[in-house]
Amino acid sequence: MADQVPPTRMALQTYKGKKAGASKGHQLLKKKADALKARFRDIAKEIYKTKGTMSESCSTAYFSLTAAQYAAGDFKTKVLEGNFVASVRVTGQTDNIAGVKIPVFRQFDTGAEHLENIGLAGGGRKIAECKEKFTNLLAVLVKLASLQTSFVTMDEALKVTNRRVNALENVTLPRIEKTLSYITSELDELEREDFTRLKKVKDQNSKRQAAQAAAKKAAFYAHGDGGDIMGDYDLADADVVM
Amino acid sequence: MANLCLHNRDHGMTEALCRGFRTGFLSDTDYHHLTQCESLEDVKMNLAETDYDAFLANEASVSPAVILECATKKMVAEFQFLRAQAVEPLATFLDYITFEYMIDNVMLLLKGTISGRDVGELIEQCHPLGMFRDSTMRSIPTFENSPKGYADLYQTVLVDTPVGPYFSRFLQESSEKLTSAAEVRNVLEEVEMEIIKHSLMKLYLEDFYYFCCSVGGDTAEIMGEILKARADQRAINITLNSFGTPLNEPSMRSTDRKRLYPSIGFLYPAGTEKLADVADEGQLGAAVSHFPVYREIWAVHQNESVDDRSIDDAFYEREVQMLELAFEGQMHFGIYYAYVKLKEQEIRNLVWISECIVQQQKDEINKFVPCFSSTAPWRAS
Amino acid sequence: MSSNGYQECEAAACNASYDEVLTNLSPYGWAYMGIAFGLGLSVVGAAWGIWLTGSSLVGAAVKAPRIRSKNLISVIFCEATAIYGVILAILLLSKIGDGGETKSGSLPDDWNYNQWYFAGYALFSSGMSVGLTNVASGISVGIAGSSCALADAQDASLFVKILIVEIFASALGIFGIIVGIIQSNDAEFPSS
Repeated sequence: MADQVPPTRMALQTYKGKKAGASKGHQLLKKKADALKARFRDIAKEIYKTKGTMSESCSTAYFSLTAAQYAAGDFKTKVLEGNFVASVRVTGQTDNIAGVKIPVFRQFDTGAEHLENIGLAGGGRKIAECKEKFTNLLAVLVKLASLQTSFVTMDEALKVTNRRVNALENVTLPRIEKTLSYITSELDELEREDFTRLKKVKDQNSKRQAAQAAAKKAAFYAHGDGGDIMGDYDLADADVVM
Repeated sequence: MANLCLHNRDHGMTEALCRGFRTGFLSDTDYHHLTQCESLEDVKMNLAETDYDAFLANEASVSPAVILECATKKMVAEFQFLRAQAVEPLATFLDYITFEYMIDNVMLLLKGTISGRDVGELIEQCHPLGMFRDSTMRSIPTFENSPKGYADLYQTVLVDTPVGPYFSRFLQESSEKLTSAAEVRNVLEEVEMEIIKHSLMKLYLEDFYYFCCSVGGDTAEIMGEILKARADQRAINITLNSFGTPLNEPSMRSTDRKRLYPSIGFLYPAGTEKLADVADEGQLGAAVSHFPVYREIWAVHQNESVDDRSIDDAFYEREVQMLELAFEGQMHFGIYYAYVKLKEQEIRNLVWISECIVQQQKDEINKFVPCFSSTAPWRAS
Repeated sequence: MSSNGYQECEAAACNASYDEVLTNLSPYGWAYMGIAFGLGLSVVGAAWGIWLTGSSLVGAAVKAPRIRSKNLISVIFCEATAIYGVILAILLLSKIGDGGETKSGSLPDDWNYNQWYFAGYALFSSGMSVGLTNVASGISVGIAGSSCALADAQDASLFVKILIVEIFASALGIFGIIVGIIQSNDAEFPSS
């Protein structure tokens, strides 16, 4: 590819500009990647923590369900058949971290109160306890879902940024540098060629001059007087440098 | 005397059968082995050595739900065997035991239809002890959710079922109420089903109690005690669980909530009269404090945060104790009721143990009320 | 006393009271009734006991088949009460003799009426003693046997303990037959 670039001074200038741009971009992206990485680690830490609490509250919640079923019998069908409206819903919002859009879920009460009489004849307390535990679990779950989605999005964004940084660092910049060095070396080569050729020409010229001078001297001596000194030069000779 | 001499004429065989089934209850050792299990496969293996034998043999995978279903099936099979051997008045007595489940099933069907569920699916969820004829089951869900709809339902379908009379009495009572306070019904619209169910259960308990009294002898004595205790348990539980629901509104207390208290029991009438005015836990505690048994149970409720035993556990313990005592007497019908109820308790225990194993809650695994345990609190002292 | 040995009717209307009916019954009649009641009631008691035990035994053996042979003892105890009745019946029968003296319709002049009546009443009450005690004994053995079958099905170690209760119940019948034999001991129908 470098071969396709004409080793001209103009190309050299262009590539120098490109190099400057690339390294600037590299720096910026690197900064972004660092910022994302820091945030990513935060989220990962948060997820780890939330998962810890979740597994705990999950097991207590399900266990309280078992306890409620022990006390009140199987009330699953009663809940299923009840005309209940969801009292908790989840909405999605977006958050912006270093230019990356992250979905955030928030839980809110719809205000639908349940006039429930499940377990009236026994186990009502346990069922209420169970409901509370599951509400807590739901909050943790929503938080975790939000974090997990951010985690995935961030991961994607981080990967893209890192890839770009690496591409700039390991592919684009070396390539530009290679092209630059190629152009410079080609230009240097040309210069050197010119110089050698000039030297050669000068050499030839001085040799020829010496021969002519010798011949003129001989002729001068042959004709007697020296005559016109300039008459020895052939004015038509293009190689003569005055 | 006549009871002793003549009981065996009709019911000796069934009684002995029922007592034979009593040997099938899990022993302390069985429970000990079960609580040591690491997986449900172990539970299955351990149960195979008990009376449950190979009841899980045809199940591909074991889960608490499967154990519940299979154990219930086994109990129902045994009960139906008893029912097939029974003659009057035991046959009626056994039918009375199933009425409770019938009420449950009818309510399940009604409720399911309101939310537009498939009938076949609903029937599958019904308790096998409370089954009617299939055609009856299928025609229950074809009604409207209105007072007239209930009346139609009663006249066309439920009148043929054994629980029909309870419905008719409930409809009579509520139609009186409807004309006088139609607005109360609107408040209750959403929870109406549960209230109907509890009203029916109340009527059922009373009816069962009077039936047992009419049988007389030891049956009246032993079943009377058990049913009275159950009625009291209902009254206290309904009061306790109504806190925080519309039923505890001052206007509803003496009308709707009081109507759910059975008119039998040790609490009736002085105690239920007090319960009707109870507004919070403190008042409830004061209301039952005149009854030593319930004072103790109430103390358990108040110490729940300390020793982690709920009022339900306390009631279960008392019920199990009474039911076990029913087996101490011979030549009465109490043992059939006790058998069904204790078997239910055992199934609950099994489900509890298997749930604890599945959920890795080994600390909690011993928190159940075993039947015929030699370590029961009332045997220890 | 009239010539035929029976009391004449002196009341306004004859056979006015049961008292009279009873005294006019033949002592042989009393004796045979004693035997009939003794045997019959004993068998009723035995049958009742077997029925009480049997129905429980059959039911209990469904879940615990091992009890079926062992608990036949309870049935045998009940059967024993019937055997007491049979033994007594045979004993009493041997006391009656052939009763041929009355067949002619008249009794000899030296006929020992006191002994005759005594024998009749003694055999009757002996039969009643045995019969009634055996009904009681049979029922109580039956109830104990029924409990024994149920208890044995639950816990085999209870069998012997309840068997002792049954033996005591069975002893009631033995009291009856002992007393019955003593009661009939001195009864002898006069022979001419």
